[in-house]
Amino acid sequence: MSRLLHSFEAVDALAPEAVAGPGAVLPHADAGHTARLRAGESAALGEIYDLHHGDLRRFAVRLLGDGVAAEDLVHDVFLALPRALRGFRGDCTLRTFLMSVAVNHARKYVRAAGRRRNALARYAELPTARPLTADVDAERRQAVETLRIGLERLPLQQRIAFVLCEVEQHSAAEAARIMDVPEATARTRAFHARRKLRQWLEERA
Amino acid sequence: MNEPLDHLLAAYRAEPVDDGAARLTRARVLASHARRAQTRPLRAFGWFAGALLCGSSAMAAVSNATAIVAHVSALFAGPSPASQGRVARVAVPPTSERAATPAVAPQRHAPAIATAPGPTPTPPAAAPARAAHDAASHAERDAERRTRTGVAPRPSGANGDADVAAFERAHRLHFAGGEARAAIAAWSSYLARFPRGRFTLEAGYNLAMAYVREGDVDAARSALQPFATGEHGGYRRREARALLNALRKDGSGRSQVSVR
Repeated sequence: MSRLLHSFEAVDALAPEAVAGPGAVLPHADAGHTARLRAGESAALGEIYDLHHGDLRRFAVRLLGDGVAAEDLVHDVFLALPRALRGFRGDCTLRTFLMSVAVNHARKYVRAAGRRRNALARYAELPTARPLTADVDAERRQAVETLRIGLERLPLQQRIAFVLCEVEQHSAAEAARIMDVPEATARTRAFHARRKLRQWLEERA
Repeated sequence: MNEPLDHLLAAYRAEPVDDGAARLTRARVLASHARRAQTRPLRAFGWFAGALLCGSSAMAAVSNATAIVAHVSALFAGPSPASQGRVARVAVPPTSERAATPAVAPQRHAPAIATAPGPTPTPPAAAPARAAHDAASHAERDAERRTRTGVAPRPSGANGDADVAAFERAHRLHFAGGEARAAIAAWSSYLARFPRGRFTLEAGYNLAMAYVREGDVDAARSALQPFATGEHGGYRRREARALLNALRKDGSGRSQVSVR
């Protein structure tokens, strides 16, 4: 707690546009929101949601490959945030912290998302983000579906590493921070995921 | 972009994410958070009540188990650990002196009938004789049961072997020797050497039985009184009461113990 307070005092001395990176302190807005949320102010949770839900939803959709499961994951992450903030020392950005909470909660949604996608696929009712209007869209949709199927074949940790490093294009250090593993581990997981996907594509072709 | 995976990755990154449900999810999050905040005190109380219930149940179970163990061990293996703990408070009569010199002259009727369980010669002696006989036979049954079930006296402490040996010697004299005076001396010796021994409680009761056999009514009364008044819990309480009542009715008419 005292460490966090020190972080907040340091944040107050920084410019509001302080950029967070590995080892950086919280941006000013995040520090204020987290402090208010810790104090029990519910409105702060809504403000944090407004700031970060886009990034979190995109990550969830890319990881799970299913919009409904992604919404549930986002809901769970923000609902767990007030309690999770007890262990937040303020040594990374709130966005990174939210992603790490999402990674911890993702496990229970991965299977559910896979089951739902399989059920929908059987009825050829896969939901589309927007209607298919051109061949280009159809081709892109096909590519997206192919990669989603490939991602489902990966072990969860490799899948998370691949989405973070290759799809979301986080640095290895930030991906490691989100997954709470050493940087080399994050790199290795992403490497193995990429290798497996490449092999799978070759076999499929 | 020069391999199929890169092509798929580019398409995957470019795939727009539908955030049509974002506002709905926001409302869900805030509603769930508010609901949690409202039920938090209730949950805390629930945890507290649950912990209290579990703790009290565990305490009750442990207490009951202790009582059951004490009862069973009193039935089958002698005094319970709880009653052993009270041994320090046992007012054992000055046995060494009694063992050396029996103070009271033997009264004929009590030992005669106690050692020879048969038809009672005189009505006044019938009651104490029957009680003494019951108590003695109870003790003998205990000894037989111990032999049959193989429950050997367990040593306690560094002088456990000497404790057991002294008890066995007194036990042999009491139940097999037929010499009440020798048994009194042996039990007194045991109690003097091991005032907090493993079998102090049994030795005290057996000493009282030996006094009854010997006819030393006063010594028997004073030795039985702690058992009858429940100083040692339920151990031999019923038998000691019956025996004291019988001794009280016997001739003297005096009552030295108030049986509640």
